[in-house]
Amino acid sequence: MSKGSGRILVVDDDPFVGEMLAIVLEGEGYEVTAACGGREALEALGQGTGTALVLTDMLMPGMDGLELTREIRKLDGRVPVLVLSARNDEEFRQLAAESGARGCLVKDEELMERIGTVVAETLRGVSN
Amino acid sequence: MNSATGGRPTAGDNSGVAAAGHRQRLLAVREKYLHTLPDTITRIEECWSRLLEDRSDRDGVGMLHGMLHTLAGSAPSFGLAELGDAARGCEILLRRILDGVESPAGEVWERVGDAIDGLRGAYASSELEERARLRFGEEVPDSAAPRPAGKLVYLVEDDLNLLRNLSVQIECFGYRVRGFAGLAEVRRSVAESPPSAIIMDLVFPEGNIAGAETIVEIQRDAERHIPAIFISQRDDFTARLNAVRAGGDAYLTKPLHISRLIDKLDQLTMDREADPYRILIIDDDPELSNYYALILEQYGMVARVVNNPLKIIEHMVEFNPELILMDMYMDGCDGYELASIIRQMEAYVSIPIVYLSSETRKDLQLRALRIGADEFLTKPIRPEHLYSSVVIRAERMRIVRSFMEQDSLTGLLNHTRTKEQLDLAVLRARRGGGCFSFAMIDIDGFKSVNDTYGHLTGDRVIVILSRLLQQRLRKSDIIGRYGGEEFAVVLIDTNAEQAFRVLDEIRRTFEQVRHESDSGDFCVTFSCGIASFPCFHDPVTITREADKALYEAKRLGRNRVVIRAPEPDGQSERMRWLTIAE
Repeated sequence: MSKGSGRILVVDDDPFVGEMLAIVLEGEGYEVTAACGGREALEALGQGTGTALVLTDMLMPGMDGLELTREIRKLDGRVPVLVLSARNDEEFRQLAAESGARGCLVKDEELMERIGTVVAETLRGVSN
Repeated sequence: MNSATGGRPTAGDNSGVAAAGHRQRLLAVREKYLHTLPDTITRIEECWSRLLEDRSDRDGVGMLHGMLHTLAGSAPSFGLAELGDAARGCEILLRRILDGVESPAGEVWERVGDAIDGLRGAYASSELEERARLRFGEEVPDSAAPRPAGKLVYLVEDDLNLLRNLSVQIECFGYRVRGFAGLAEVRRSVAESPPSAIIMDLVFPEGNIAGAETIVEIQRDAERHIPAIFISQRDDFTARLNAVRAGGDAYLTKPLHISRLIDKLDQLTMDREADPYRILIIDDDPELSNYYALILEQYGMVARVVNNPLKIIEHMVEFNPELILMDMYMDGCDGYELASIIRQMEAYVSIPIVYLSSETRKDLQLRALRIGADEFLTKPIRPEHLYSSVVIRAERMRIVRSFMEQDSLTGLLNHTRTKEQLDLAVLRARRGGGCFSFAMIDIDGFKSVNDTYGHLTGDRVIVILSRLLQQRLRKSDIIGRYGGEEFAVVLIDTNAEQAFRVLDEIRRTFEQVRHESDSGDFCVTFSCGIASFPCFHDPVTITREADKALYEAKRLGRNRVVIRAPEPDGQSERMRWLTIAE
């Protein structure tokens, strides 16, 4: 059943979605660290446990997902960042791309089904 | 992730244990979420009432927006898609106010109020939604992620009664329906939350083909084609032409047959790939026949090559092709004779036969067509030409077969075809040395369901069970409607104990489904008897023994699954009956 490997950092101020993502991704074989905001996420990255990919919500109090993405890109340009949002419009996609995110995902009812595939593809270096 | 295989172990049983723990965690998070939902809604309401008193409170608007945005982002992942949609609609409006695109003093505030009302409504029905879905068996043993909410379907129909009845019926089949009584709202809603399909009436107060015109606009605005099914009392050429021109994928006339509508919906919204077409190639030249097989396989079909025409009958039975590609001149037997033999067999009287030959004489080509071939292709042939000749005929054959073979209410195999499949399963198992299980399922007390709640409700119970079976069993399993309230299932590569586990799980799920009717809600159960191969060796015996097991299940109190094991003889140590406690 497990096909993935590597550590994923999940950043979401909504603890339920964060936990759900963690469970789903662990089921796929990844190790997951969870953070509930931008600052906590940067701290976790700073600890150098070898994060392979970052999954972040866009709208969060304090540092939002886009700012977090920009900070991560400055720290380590190799770590891909995927941005999540309930929004599904062009402006969202543009904002995500401009801040350096590798891709973006909508928080719809298929999110949990798709997340495994999208993460795997991103890690394989397949561009969206 | 593979869909439910009912826990049938593949490599060791550890995967089953890990999956169960995983599932527990998912369910636990979901429970927690649902538990906090009432508080979340309360806080949203409180924030909204404060804002009503002071619209200029930007912080308040920001806070409300944040709460709704979070709700919009979490609800869909926990199976509450309607609530998520309502939250998102509201959140979008508030965002426009925050961005300064709209002024809170304007009419947008009323729309926010409407959206909050919509949210309340969605929340109220979400409780039922969530309970109903749990009963229908969210807990699929092997799935790694929670079952997503059913696909969203828009239903646009100005007859309010029909709108309501149809919505309820379609939702029984696992879809989510959003109804529209008029055309005005539809385009905007599609833009905000695109559905998996739209069911559109044709005639509206705006005009006799207003439905088609709206679909044209919708498809133009949409990013991806949205499958559209037209429904109408009109059955004239103009109506159908407009439907085709509007890019409609189907056209059904009223009064509607719910099963036909659901079939179309399933077909159009299906995301798994359809079964590949099966093509039988008969040619005594192995290189050439393999070449054709390769071409067709590259187009996604499944091709089997037969080089010895004398073996054709057994290949027909086993492979069950949908089209035959045949050379005209072969050693031992020529194409005409072969086609005639095939057409002699009742099951293959209408199977498409396509000749592929280097014969250039027109009179001989015509003769071939006259004995029932569908097309005559000359060699050498371009791959695309071969493909297009084959695909269109294979597709038509499949549709024709489905009408002949399926039970019209459930879409499952009818009695005759099910028996045929059992025969085939025995044949294949004998040859290949595998095992399979045959189960007979009978709904308990069905007659009194019909008497108490009416036949329409009874039909719906039958359909729900058939859908449940289709959802839980594998594609390779055969499901048939054997009789009024009786189903028969052939579970390939499955022994009796494994079959028991799968079917008992389904039994437990079905027992919990609340069926709704005007005279009240009720639950139904079924009894099931299993007999397997190679325990029992031929179709007649297997059927008889499964029936005996079913009878025993009824006798022991119904709502249970019973396995029939062979009578103890000198060599066997098996018990006579294997009934495992509920």
